[in-house]
Amino acid sequence: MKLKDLRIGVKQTIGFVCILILMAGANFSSFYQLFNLKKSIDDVTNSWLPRAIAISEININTTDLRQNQLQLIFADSEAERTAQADRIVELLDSISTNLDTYEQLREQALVQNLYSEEERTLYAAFDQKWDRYQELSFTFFQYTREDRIIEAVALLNGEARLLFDEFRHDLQELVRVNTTDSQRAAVQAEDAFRTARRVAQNIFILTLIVSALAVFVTIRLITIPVKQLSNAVAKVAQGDLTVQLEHQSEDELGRLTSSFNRMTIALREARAKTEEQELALRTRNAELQQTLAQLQEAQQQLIMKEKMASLGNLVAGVAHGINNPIGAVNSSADNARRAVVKLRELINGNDELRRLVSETDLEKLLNVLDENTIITATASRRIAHIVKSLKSFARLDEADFQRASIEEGLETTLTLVQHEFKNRIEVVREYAGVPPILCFPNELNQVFMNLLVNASQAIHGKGQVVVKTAHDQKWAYIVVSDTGIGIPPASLPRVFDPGFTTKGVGVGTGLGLSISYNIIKKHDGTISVTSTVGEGTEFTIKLPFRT
Amino acid sequence: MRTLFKHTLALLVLAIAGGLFTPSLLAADSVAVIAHRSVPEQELNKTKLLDIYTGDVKRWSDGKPVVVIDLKPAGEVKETFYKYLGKSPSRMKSVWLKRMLSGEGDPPLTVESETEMVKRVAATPGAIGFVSSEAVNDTVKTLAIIEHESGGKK
Repeated sequence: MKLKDLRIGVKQTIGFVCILILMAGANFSSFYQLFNLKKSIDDVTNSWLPRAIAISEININTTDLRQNQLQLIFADSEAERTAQADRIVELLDSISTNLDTYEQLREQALVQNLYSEEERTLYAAFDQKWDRYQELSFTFFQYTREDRIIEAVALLNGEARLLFDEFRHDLQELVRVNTTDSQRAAVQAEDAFRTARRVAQNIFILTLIVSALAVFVTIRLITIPVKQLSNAVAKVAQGDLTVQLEHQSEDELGRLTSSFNRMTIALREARAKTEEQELALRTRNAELQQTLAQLQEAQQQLIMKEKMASLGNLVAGVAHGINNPIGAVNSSADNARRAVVKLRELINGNDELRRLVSETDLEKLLNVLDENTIITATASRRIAHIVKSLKSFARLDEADFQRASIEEGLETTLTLVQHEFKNRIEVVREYAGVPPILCFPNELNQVFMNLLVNASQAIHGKGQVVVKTAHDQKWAYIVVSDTGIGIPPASLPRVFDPGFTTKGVGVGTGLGLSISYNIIKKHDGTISVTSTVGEGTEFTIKLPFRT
Repeated sequence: MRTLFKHTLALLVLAIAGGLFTPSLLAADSVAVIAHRSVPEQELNKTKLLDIYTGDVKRWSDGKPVVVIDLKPAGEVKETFYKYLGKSPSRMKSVWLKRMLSGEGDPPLTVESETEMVKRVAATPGAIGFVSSEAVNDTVKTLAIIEHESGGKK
């Protein structure tokens, strides 16, 4: 198992244990060095220096002793002699005490291995000489007691003096040795202190580095993956399901990362499925709407066909009904005219009758008769024309898809809406002489009718309607423009929608333009509208020539 | 004559037994504290011995004065003896010097050899001294045996 795959807790514990070990090492080292330092200082203060001091004391004491011995020789009185003796006893006591101290220290030093061979040799030499000096002193005091002054002086200045000088030298050497040793111990102490300080510093720096490393590792192991994870979660929350995290380790975070990746994959699959379903639903909905539109169109066409059929039947009936009496009126008027003509011929050929006519008002009556027959003939011709237009509009007598003149259709329709226009609206015709096109003429007539009726209704009061035709190689154009109230821009895109109307309830069905649109579409043409509120509206129809 | 024989025999037996069974007791380096035969004490412990050698005790139990004798040359015997007492020869001399200056008594007599020691002790009533065990004869009485190192310490 690799380190990165250990649990985070274990990783942290390892880090802490490392730091703890280092710090413990630092402390241990410091303690060890301090112990050495203390030992060195103790050696100096408890061993070397006290020994040096004790020896120095002895040195002084022995010098005093010799002084007093000299003074004892020359003591004048018994009292002075006793005083000197007491002084010597005190010195001997002091020497003994100092020697005790020294020997005690020596015992300790031997245990601590602080007693050098040189010192041992020196002390042994001193002890031997001191022993011998005291032996000589016995003799010396014997001489003084017996007042053998010359011999006493000789002893003191002879062998005793040599001995004294020698053991004094030994004592000085001992002091020197101890001083040297204490200096050495001081140097050791300083070394120990330096070492302790250096080791402590190094370990402190090392601890800092390891701590920094631990922090760095912690950040790398925990903080960065957590941040990545949190960023990834934020992305997922915003809807980005493509996020995948790099799988770096097998610890808790690694497992969390794996879980997260599995989660995003699952979410992605779920969302893909949802989207798929949504798409299917939308497609079906669109299909449904299309079907509905087709259904509505079919219904409209059906309604229109039904209307047209009814209208056709009605027109057929009316035309048929009117045609016969009109024929009778027409022929009667003709007969009456011809009768008047014959009557005039008769009158003109007979002088008596001519005189009679000139004498009476007969001529006047004949003129009235003439006039009335002409009026009757004209009126009946007009009736016949209207009936013909009606029949033409309905095209009941013609085949569905045929070649027909657009301009003729427009004229027929204009005749039928004449009563709407009356004297209120002026019709301006600008026909370009468009050749006949293949079409359903009755349906196109219905379109013209719708446009013209709409124009009439848009014009409140007096106005003008312009009917214009044009053509090129491929297309025939019909433009119907009015000077009406216009269509607001908001409504303009919806004018061809089924059921859209600006007229009040009962005025229109709202189907007129929609039906017109469908008819033009059926002819593979287009119908478009431009309008300015307050100025008027212009519809443009574009129809293809078919071959 | 008969008594002497008996004594000699007893000593021989003792010596053989000692040589055989207690070699340490009669080892070459052990030191014997010897006294004049007239001394009433049969044995001395360390304290008593130290008191006698420092001059604190000046008389035997029968009131006769103690005569302390010191062995002058340094050597194993002298060293063992003074180590047993806990005072080095030089320190002991300081004690004697103080005593001498205070007028409490003179330092011990000194002899130059162990043979002389035995002779001197045997010849001086109330005398006490020390020699190696080997040097002891029946002209003196033995008050204590000091083992070198082990037996003689403290």
